[in-house]
Amino acid sequence: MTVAVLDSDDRAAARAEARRIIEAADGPIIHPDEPVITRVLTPLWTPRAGWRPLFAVSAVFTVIFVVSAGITVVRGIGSWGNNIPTAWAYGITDFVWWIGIGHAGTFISAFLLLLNQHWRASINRLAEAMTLFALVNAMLFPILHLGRPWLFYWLAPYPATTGVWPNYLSSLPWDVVAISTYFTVSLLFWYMGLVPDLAAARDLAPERWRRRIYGVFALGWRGGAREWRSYRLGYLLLAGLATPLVVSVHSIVSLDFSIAQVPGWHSTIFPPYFVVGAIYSGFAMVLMLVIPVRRIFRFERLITPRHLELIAILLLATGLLVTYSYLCEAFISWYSGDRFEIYAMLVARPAGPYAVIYWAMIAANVVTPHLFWSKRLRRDPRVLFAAGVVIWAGMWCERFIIIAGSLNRSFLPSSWHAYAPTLVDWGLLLGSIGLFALLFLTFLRWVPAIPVSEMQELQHRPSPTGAVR
Amino acid sequence: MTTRPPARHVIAEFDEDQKMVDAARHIADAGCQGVTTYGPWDLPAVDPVAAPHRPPIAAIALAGGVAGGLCGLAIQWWSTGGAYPVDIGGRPRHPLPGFIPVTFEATILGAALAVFIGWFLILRFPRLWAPIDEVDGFEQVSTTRFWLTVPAPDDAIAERASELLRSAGARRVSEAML
Repeated sequence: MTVAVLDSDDRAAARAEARRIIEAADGPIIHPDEPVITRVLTPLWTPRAGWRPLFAVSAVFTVIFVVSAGITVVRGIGSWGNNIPTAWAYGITDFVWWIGIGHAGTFISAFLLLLNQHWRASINRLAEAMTLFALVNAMLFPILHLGRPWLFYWLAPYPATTGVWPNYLSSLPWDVVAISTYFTVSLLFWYMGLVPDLAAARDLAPERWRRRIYGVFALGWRGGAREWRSYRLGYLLLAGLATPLVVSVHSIVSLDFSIAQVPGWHSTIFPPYFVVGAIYSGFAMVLMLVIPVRRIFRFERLITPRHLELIAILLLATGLLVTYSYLCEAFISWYSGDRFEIYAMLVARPAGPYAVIYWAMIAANVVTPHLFWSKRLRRDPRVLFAAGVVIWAGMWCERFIIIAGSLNRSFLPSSWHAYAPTLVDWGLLLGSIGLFALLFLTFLRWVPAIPVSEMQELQHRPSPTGAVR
Repeated sequence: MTTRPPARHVIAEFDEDQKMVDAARHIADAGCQGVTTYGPWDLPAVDPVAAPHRPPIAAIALAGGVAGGLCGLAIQWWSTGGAYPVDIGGRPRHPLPGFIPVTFEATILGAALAVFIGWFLILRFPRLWAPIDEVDGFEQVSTTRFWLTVPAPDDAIAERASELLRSAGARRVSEAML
């Protein structure tokens, strides 16, 4: 990252010019007079109104998740609605959905950092936290799906006395490696970015016990030039490493399906299709989280309509790519001439037992993003929030249609079998949303939700051309 | 790890980043060695003066990535092809393309862990206390203020450095054993 060195007069002129351009065209990226530090750190000392009731509701849903997981562990997968041929259903749907949601965080944070898109600074911490907590949820589902989750460590290459090793030619152990790597790298990236802000929290905390806790996590950060230079280089390297991970992880998840022979799964478009869908659902959830957070935490002058608009544009772009993937998938199945593929894609999905979910998916994922051709709608938080929720749910429908919809109608009509979720399935799905919310609210309460140092740097060094650097 | 004995330093506090950057340049131009700056946000402009050596993080990451990738490949090669071979339709025991995903992930994991551990080692983290923490008002360095320190082994250098720093707009200049 290079920052032009300007003298005081130039800086004042640049700031005035930036302010003029921003206010004339797009509204402020960051208000020049916004007290960033106090705005971001004060909620750590005193929770905002509304935090406690939200936390309580999340805790109730988390209990539902724990109870459902307990039933699964004690009674086994028979407590789910899975059957043969629909051996994968809600469990894997939830897994793929959550892991997809986890992709926008790293995309926003790492990819946009590499592209020198400084507008990411307002939302990257929130998006990274979303990634981590979505991954926690995602990892729980395949473990529960194992049937004997307490033996999950068999998936790791450890020196077992039995001499049995994971089969690395199967895509399922690839998943384990990919997801655990993604989680580890995301956590390191998140924590490294946090260290300067934890130091700020350490130095501003009103109570001694808080100063001590933040002090330990800040590792002794003092903002020395050597520290900043190592930080800058290390953070950029982690971003560079995390970016291909975004692509690789969901590509590997897609291989769980595409290497199978099941009609509707056996497709070479799956890796890019899954990656695009993942980023799409992640952006939808970023909107769902950022819009209430900016309202509750009064971050309107830090996360401005311009930020929301940029996310909406990305949502439109990824939405169009998802639409293209749907069309491509249908066309290739027809063009293949394979009667099972044609049936699965062109008959079973739009007119089969889950046709309602299929058409809900089309309405949510294909139609909704077209709202964002309108600049007015792109900047309206209510519309954005509603669209985020619709797309977020629509992407769950997509995962369900791919998984249960394909298994449910495989080759032999004699083996077709209806699938219906049980209460435990619903408990795990809704409970995982509660668990996510609980973790996210805990993060909002204890961790600076917006990168203070980056925001202050942006505020004090506006680019000569305007707001978005 | 060796600990440097405390040495006399001139320290200055600034309200603005640009004033500190200018002061760091002036004082380095005047021949003072070992300037260190502190601030709440990244100031790459002071690197040539205050952090002239590029930290070897990239090399550490490369080494970690290569080590991670080789470990990942070796584990697969040995376990799938040797210790626990699985005969699937007579396919080869060492199919390299099948090992690519795990090798790739292990490379990234090795490199990322190396970056993080290397960062800790370079900066000697965690270092929860340092002599400069005792300087009055230094805690504001992570929020709003900028600090500059320069070694001053004798009175003449200390006086010259203090004068330069004051003329560069420091709001406070003092001395401390750091």
